[in-house]
Amino acid sequence: MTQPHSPRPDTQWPRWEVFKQDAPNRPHQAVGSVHAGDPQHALLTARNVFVRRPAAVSLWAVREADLLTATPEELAARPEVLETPGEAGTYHVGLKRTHKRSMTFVDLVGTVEASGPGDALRQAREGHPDALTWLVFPESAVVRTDEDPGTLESWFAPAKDKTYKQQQFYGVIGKHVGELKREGRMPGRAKEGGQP
Amino acid sequence: MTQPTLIQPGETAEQHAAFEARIARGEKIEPGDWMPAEYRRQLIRMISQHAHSEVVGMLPEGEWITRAPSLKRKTILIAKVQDEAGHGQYLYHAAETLGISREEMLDALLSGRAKYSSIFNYPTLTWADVGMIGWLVDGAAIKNQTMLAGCSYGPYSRAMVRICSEETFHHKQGKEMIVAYAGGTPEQRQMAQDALNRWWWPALMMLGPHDADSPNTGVLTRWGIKLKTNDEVRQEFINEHAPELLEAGLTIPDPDLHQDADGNWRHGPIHWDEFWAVVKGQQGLNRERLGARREAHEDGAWVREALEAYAARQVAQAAD
Repeated sequence: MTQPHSPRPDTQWPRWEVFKQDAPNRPHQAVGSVHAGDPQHALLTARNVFVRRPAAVSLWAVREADLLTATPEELAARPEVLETPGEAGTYHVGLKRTHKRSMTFVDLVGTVEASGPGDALRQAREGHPDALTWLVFPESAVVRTDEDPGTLESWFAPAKDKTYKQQQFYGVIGKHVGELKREGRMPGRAKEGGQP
Repeated sequence: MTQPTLIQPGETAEQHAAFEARIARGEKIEPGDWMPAEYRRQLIRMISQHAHSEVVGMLPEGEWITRAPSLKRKTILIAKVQDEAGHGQYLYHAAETLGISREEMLDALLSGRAKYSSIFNYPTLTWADVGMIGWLVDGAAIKNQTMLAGCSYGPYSRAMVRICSEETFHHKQGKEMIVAYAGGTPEQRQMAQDALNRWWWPALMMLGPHDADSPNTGVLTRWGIKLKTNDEVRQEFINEHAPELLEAGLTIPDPDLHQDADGNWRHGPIHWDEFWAVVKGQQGLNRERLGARREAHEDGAWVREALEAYAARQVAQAAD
């Protein structure tokens, strides 16, 4: 999907899309991508980059070549994407549902039984016609962290209590700034304007 | 109105209009979305410089890990420095989504072509500098990064949210340290004041040239990459930090600093000659910083080679 930036040959390791699950009853969500030479390397790098904070219980990585994505516009321009051949079996379906700011951009919503990636994409579109982007990949392409207590402890427990905190959580030394603000003597920002 | 110069060969005014309508609606631009070549170029420039700054930023403070005065301060500093390494990772990953490779970015840094924040070319002369960097340099960085967390490019915005939460801890520990020293022994007070004397102006300068001298601000604001100008961010920074530094009992090294009728703290003239000399590496520790990075990169070559060999063997075994 990414438009080429430079004519230099890409010598990097393959790109893997990373899906993170924050809690057992939550969906896996796309959080970004890593370059890695093998599945274990992909998961380790994903852990170091995307699970420094806060809680997570599971990471999946899927090689870029195993993903098929499309927007409604792309399908209108190139309907043959729905014919993309590949292995039959269980496919995971992910959706992008908003253009707004979020820490994730695609949520996995379930699986379909499909004759290939194009068929999986067609079923994703039928089931979720309002999505902004559909994403499918075969279950066989997923590499995932183990779910045993030892893995959870060593991979995810250290980050569990390092939650995100807003700046105001920490307060200030003394109450000078807060007092000044309440008295209207300290503007919160230099001048109003620009986008919110 | 789209400026004609921003439309590059192969792009149309309609594409630009649709793109700018998305920005106006507050939508996030994601890696696969259509974007102007100039938007991509500006983001690669900004994000990679930002990543380099995080990585080089480990050096001035890392020098003090072995000399920290207590175990508590040492563990805090180790945690902070490794956070900066993580921030570099977040940002290199964000830049990669735009189609530039890690190799190209590292090559630009190590060859001296790429810039990084000039603040890291100043020496850390005493232990109090570690606290002052946390309070002022990370404080200034948070102001900038909080703004960038709202920027129009999804991966950069997400990286900034993560980074801001960690920088907030850096800011807090620096403030806590300096406030403690400012209320400590005469020697500690002197050390804190000396650190403020040396870091105040560089901290103001790290937020970038005045708006009138900032060539990229127009297009960056137009496309929602920057939501505030350098001078706006600088004013926010001074408004927050000047009263706290004064309350801590320190003297800000600017005789012209005063609060105006609107409540804004106004600073005196900034010596931009020094800023540009440091940016261009004519002054400060640019050569030493890059030397340390090159050495680290070369010393790490065996790790990259081992990973390559392991990956190649996995592929070969899978083929059997």
